[in-house]
Amino acid sequence: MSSIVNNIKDKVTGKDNSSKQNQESEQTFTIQPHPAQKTNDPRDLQGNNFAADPKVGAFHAREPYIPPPEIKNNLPPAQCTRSREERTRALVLHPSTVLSVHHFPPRQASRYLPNMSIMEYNGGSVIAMVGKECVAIASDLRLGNQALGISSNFQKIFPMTDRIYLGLPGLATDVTTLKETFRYRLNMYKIKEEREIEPQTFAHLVSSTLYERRFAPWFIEPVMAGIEKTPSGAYKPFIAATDLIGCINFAKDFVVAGTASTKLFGVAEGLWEPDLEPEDLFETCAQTLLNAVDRDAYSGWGAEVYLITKDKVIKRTLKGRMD
Amino acid sequence: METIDIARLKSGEVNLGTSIMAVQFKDGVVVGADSRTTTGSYIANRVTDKLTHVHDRIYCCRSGSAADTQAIADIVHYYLQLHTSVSLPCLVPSPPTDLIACLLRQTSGEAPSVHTAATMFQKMCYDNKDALSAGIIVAGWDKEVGPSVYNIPLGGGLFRQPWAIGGSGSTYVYGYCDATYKEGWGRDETVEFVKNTLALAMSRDGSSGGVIRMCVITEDKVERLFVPGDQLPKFWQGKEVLGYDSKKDADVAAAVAMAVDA
Amino acid sequence: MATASRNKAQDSISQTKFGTNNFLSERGIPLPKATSTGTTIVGCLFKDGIILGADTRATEGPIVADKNCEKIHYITDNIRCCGAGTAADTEFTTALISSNMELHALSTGRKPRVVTAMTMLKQMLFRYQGHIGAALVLGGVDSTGPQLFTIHPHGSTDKLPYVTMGSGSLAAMAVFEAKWRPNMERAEALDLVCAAVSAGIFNDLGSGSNVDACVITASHTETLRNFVKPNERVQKERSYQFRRGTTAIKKEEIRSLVVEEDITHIIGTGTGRGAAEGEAMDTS
Repeated sequence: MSSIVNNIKDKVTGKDNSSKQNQESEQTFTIQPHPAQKTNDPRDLQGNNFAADPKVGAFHAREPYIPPPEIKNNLPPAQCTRSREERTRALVLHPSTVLSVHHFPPRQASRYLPNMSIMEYNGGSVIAMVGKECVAIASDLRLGNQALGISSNFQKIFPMTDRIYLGLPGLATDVTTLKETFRYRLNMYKIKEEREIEPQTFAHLVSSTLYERRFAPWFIEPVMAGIEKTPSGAYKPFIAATDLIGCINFAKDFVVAGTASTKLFGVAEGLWEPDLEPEDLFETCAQTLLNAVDRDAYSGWGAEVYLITKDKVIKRTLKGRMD
Repeated sequence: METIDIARLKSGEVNLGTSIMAVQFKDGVVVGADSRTTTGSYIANRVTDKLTHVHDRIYCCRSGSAADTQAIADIVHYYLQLHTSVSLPCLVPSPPTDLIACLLRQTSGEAPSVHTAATMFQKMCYDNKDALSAGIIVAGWDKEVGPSVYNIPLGGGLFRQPWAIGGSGSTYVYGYCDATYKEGWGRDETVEFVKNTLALAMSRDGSSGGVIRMCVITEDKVERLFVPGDQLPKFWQGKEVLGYDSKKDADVAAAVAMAVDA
Repeated sequence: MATASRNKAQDSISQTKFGTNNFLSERGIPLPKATSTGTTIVGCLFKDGIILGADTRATEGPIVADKNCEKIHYITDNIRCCGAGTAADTEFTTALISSNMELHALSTGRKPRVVTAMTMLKQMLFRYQGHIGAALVLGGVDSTGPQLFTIHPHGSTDKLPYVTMGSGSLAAMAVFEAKWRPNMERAEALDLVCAAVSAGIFNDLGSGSNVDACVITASHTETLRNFVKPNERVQKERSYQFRRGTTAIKKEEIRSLVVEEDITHIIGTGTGRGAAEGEAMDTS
């Protein structure tokens, strides 16, 4: 190869000594056989003829497992290709087949955080309760920087569909980000499926979205409430909550989250009762929230309640302590 | 000496705080282990099988983290099955990319030598020494050298030894092994030696105990032996200081002498 | 609360080498608590197969987060898996392996085996080096017979005739060690599993509420959700409803979800007004 290049180069530069030099010095190479081989014949490489060698048989593998006849004779037949393909197609649409855990680079949290949990940085709490053919979801309105109150009008509950509302208590930056993430994902769902998402499905969407960030989580503990349409056409109340990495809690009575969650648990456990009519559910839910956040330094500064029934959604802003 | 804290287990990890042993004799090897697996002070499994099959005539004794040693043994088992596979050369990239590929390329269809298996273990233990806590003894029989025992302690070294002991219980019985081991033993003497050593280690070490499991690996077969926890060899067990009977003491002394001779 | 499983779950998070957690915990900031199933889960062999058992309490630190959660997860028709440790991890790992098992069954065309699920789980958990805090009891019946395994968060496995895991495992194991025998009858074994889980429910703070059980035999699998309910809540002695109007409201907004429309017939026999009213009634 290089000799060709040299020839061209010489022609270009006008030198004419190339042919002589090449004849004198061009080396020839032969391929020497490997010391272990006799020749370069490729067949020599396979000269051992492995298949014919009895030592090389499969008996060198671990003894084969021979099942006893009662198992061997009762093995189910292999399924035919068609039924397998049908099952595969059904499965591909199943949400659990698209599970994955991604690794994200660490998020830089503020360097000026004092000795407290990041979940308590901005404060805020949410509660959702089940009533008779209705649900209520309520939150406080405070946004704080630890003990310092910043805003008394910070929304934590967002409509996801007409009949599903999502509460996002936790780190405020993640409230904003996740709200948009869910809006995006729900829009995509609607485009693909050409229908509104069901509450049950939405709970799994929330769960997967949080578990995606298993090792660098969103500091949010979502609470969702909605009305489910059963196949028979009836309306069924639905509430759920997840922890910050997406473990779903499908409760039949109430779910709570946020800085006042411990207090909310206690008050709700005492006040909640089954089959409350919408207006009674509103009172119970509102009173539970107001009384619980009065004992929490990081929640309060006003509150709002969404009361979802099968034909309307009522949003009420409550009068609460402003200290 | 600089202490590297690789022996430390990750918190909550399942530990094989163990007594394991392998001894070579004329016709084969005897491998043995206790059966205790612990998480902290809780015995997670009291009948564990720490003697793990990696090939027809090659076994390993596992000590350290249960998860790490199981993972390593599974991988080596996989490679050794490949080694025996006839169509192997076309599976291995050419030129071989790493040592294990080299080992696999050299022979195919042949049963692997114990040295090959031990090298695979050693490579994995050494390359990942920061992430693993695994002390492994590899022993078996092959047609190149007959019986052999390889010790792969924590850092990933590889040492051929006529006998090897390992795990937390081994520290208590090095002296006993040095004093007792003789070359040229037959099968039965070797089995007795392994059984006595492990019983002594298990009685002194809190993280070892349960039953004794042993394997005698020879050219013809692998024989499994089992000593239940209530039939372990007994040695000097202490005596009551009060109400002590000097006549009985003489009987006990005789029994101890017999046990030690055996 | 200082149950073993609770602490284990926390440690596995704090050890995370990637992510914010390490960053935060280095600065002495307490980590947010993930839901954990400080749990009693058990499994045992009996004459015809396997019985799995679990309590139904989920905790977040000292708080009972869910009083009736499900800890026996579906893997395949003939395989189930109980989960203890970080609740989200047990939920997602079992869902993932369930999915992979179904695909594996489809590609081989055979009924899936328990060892296959066990190998998938141990290899996944080992790859994550204990950061996925799932402690599992895996059981099922396949062509090789009944199989029962435990899988620890770091990826080690054990195969035993009776097993327990979670913070209540010591209490449950005490019951098994005392009463388990080979070849028990179904009813007898089910009673034993209930006794073992109950020991956890009543003696371990991390476990509580009800007993779930699952009986797997060669022919079929029977799920016994809330098989025993020893901790049912009694009816409240009086109602605590508030008088309507108790809560002071500053503002109210109502959004109707019913679409109302008037239809005016331009062509047709009826008079425009009458027809429009009739249609509106139909749609509302």
